[in-house]
Amino acid sequence: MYEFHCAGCHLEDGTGLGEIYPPLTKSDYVIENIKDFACIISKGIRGPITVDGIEYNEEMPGNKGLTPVEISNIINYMNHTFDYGLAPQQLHETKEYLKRCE
Amino acid sequence: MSRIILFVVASLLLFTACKEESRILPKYGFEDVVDGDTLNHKIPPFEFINQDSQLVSNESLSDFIYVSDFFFIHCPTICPKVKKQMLKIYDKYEDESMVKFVSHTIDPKRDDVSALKDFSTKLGVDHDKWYFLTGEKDEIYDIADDYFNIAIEDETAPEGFDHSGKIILTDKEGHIRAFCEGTDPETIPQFIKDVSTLIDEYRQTP
Repeated sequence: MYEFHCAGCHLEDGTGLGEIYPPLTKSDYVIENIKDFACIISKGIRGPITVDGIEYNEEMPGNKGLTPVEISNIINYMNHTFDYGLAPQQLHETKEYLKRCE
Repeated sequence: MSRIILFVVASLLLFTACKEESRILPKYGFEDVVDGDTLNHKIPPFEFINQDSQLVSNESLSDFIYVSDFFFIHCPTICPKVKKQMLKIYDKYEDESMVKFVSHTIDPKRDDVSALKDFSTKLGVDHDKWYFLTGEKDEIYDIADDYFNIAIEDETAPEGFDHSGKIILTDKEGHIRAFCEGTDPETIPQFIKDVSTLIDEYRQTP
C-alpha cells in the first residue's frame, strides 16, 4: 500500500526529494502531526509546512477511495518501517481522526 | 591440481582486470552508411530554453559530456525516483567541469521557465551545471526518441503522460555512450563508472 500510494514521491526509503517532497522518515513534523496523517493521506495537503527546519510548499493530492483500514495500515507501516517509535494507530482512532476532515 | 586451478583463476582475474582497464564505451543506436562512411547514431541539432531563460543547444554542450533524463514536475509515478538517482550521479560529478546534466520536461505547457526554475532551486542544484529544459512539445518528443526514451501524451496515464525513466550519457559529439534505468538503483553504480570511463577517454586523447 505504501509503495503504491506514497513511494512514487516520498520514495521507498521515505527520504523524499530535495525541498520538493518532504521526507516521511522520523521528523519533528511526523511526531507532532501524526494525528493529522489520516486526513493528509485521504484528502491531501496544500500550503507550506516545515519539516525539520525546511519549508515545503508543494500541493499533495489526496488518495480518494482509500478505506480507514487501508489508511491505518499505511500509517502503521510508516511507524514501523521508519521507526517513529509511536504506539500503533488503532482503527477506531484512525476513524476518529478522519472525522476532522470529512 | 590446485596449482592449475590457481593458475586458471589468476589468469582469469588478470584478463578481467585488463579488460576493465581498456574498456571503451560503445556508441549506441543504428549505424548509417553515407558515402561509404559508417556514421553512428547521433543526437540531432537541438535548441531548448533552460530554467534561467538561456538557450541550450547541441553547440553549447559540445565541450561537455552530459547526463540526461525526461520528466515532468507533476509526475506522480517514476520521476521522483529517477531524479533521486540523477542527484546521486550529480553529487558524484558536481565538481567535474566536463560533465553537465540535462533534464527535459515532457509537459512544457505546465513546466514553463519559472516552474522549472522553482523546481531546480528546490532540488538544490547548480543552475549552470544542471539544465532543466523546455521548448516546443513536438521537438521534445522527437528528441526523446533519439535518446531511446519513450514520451507519449496519454490521457489514461497518471497526470496525462507516459514515459520511460532511462538516464542517458551523451558524449561531446552527440553519441549515446551509456544508459541506465533511473527506476532501478542497482544500475546506477555501473553508470557512474561509465561516466568516469568517458571522462578518461577524453583526458587521454585531448
